[in-house]
Amino acid sequence: MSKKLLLKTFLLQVFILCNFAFAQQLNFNENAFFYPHSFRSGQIISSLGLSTAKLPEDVVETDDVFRAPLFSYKLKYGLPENFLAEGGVETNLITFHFSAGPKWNYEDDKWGFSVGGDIAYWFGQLEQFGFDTKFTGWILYPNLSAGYRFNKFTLSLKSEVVLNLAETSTNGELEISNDLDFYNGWTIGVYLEQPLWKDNYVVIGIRSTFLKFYYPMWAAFSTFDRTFFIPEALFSFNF
Amino acid sequence: MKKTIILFASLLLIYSCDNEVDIISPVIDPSNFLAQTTPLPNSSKLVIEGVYDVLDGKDLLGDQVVVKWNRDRLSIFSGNNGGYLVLDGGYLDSVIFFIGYWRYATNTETGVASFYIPSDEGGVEIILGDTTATTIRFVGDYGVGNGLADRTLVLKFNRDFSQAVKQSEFDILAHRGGGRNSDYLGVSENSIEMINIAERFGSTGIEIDARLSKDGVPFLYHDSDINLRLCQKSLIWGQIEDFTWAQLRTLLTLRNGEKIPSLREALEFVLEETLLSVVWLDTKDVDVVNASIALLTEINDRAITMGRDLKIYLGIPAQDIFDAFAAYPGHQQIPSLVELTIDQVRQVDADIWAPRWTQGTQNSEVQQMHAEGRLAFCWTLDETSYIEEFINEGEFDGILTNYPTIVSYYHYIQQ
Repeated sequence: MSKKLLLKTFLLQVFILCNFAFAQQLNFNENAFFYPHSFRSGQIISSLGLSTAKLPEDVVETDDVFRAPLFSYKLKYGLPENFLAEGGVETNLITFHFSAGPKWNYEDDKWGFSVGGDIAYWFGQLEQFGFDTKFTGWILYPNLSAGYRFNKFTLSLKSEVVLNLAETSTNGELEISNDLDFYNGWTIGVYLEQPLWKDNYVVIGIRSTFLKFYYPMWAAFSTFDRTFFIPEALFSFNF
Repeated sequence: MKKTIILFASLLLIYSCDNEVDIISPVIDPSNFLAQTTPLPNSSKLVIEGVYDVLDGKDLLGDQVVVKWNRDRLSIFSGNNGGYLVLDGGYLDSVIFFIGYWRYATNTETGVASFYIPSDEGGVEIILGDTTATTIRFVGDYGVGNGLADRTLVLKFNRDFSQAVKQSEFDILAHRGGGRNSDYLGVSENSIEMINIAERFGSTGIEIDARLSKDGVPFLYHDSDINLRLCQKSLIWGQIEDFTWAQLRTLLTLRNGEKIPSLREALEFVLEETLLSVVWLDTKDVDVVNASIALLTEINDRAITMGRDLKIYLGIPAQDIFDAFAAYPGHQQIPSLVELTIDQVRQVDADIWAPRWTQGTQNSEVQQMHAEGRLAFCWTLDETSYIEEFINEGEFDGILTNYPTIVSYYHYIQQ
């Protein structure tokens, strides 16, 4: 067995032990991001993550699992009266997606609920590999969340409707206002949050999206008027 | 931890899911009615072509459609979701009948459609080949999915194609021989069966993809590997160019059940069985360049001998293929199409410059090509709004597309 493998095994054991060691001192309201708990006014929780998606074979023209990495940073800021403000940025380097919106949370014993809406502006730009194109758009995401707090972890469900408000693309000297359907589709995600060590929480999530237009895939210029199922996997750290 | 494992298992399960697409093949003319009719002479076909107003059936087709004959069918192109109809027809007494199907290009919605042209609303004039006929009216109906044709469709002749369109030599080039597997056309991309129906979508030319077998036979295939996107499950797997032609021919079946065609079979089919005038032969690997040149030279010579309006161009999509082509003795005499820079077009004296559409209309560069006696095509343009803009504001001589029906609509409807 190599020294590298031994070291990895040791670190993994340390993490697992830490997990159990601090299991009795969990404070989800200070560390959980996706679990819809109450926030103190001024309280901030962030989550830095990486997600991948299996893109539709008809669009990417490969039958292999195709991973489209998307880096994300999200932040929640507590407001009075159980309100909070959430903002975030996602990027795959050629595309940037900025979102912000209010949410209202309700927490009852081990259950948490949230209702809110996010508005997002996104843009993509590519001026190489035969591209001279830009794409910009506005998206509205009305959303609902529900979560349950177990002893050692939380499990949360978040669903959102995806509404295209506006989109424009520029190709060379031509600028076109596109006509994507206003109702783009919907998503549902399940998120598990638990401490990795001390108050350092990790999130493992899977999200199913049922969309006609998947914005990170804009450069594929998919013209299909069909709803695609695009599963996403998320791994992130809360802090 | 158990729950984490369950979560990961669920994730794997979801990742293994595919997007299922409902494919409907409407049953067309089950009573074989058209067998009782007489095929229209070519002189009659030209009378029917033109731009028509949609009087009934706007939900399906929008306000206007283009009616255009191809080799063996009447096609109708609309601006609504890339909608089109493909109809077989003939006349009985002085009434003209058409039966076929409609389809939206951008999704898989389809259904049956049928028309007749009454004798007193164009039928007689069309059969007689009277080119002054202007009162043509299509009366018919259509169904949705497998449903009966129970919705009314009425089209009324509005105008002939404009002089600009009639004099235009604009090429509508269908990708992968006519369409991709993801378009669910019922036949496989890069197959003889696909080439056979390409003209029904308005194509005047096709793009096909060539590779070379292990024993030196050029054949049609897009990807570098054998995969389920293009093929049915088979006994062979891996890089497709590692197999001999006999192995590929006997052991491989394309997605919709066809045999993989050799490049010779495909080009001879285009030459002898179609009216297509352009073939964009996309060389997918440097190894296939020399074999392709020999074959396209032979078929181009045969086309000249037959008096056939057909030209096959060697597509040069990448630098390594460009280098191989530039090293080929006498390459300046070989019809070629270069997707790289205009300087490289000049370097090998290519006939056509073909930039990617995402670089824009590039009108000044296209004008330079025209001034040098060359053509310019763009690829692979599928966005409806950009198709309209490229046709109206661009100066390309042709568009390679997965939706020739949409390009046809915007091309033929030009004033």
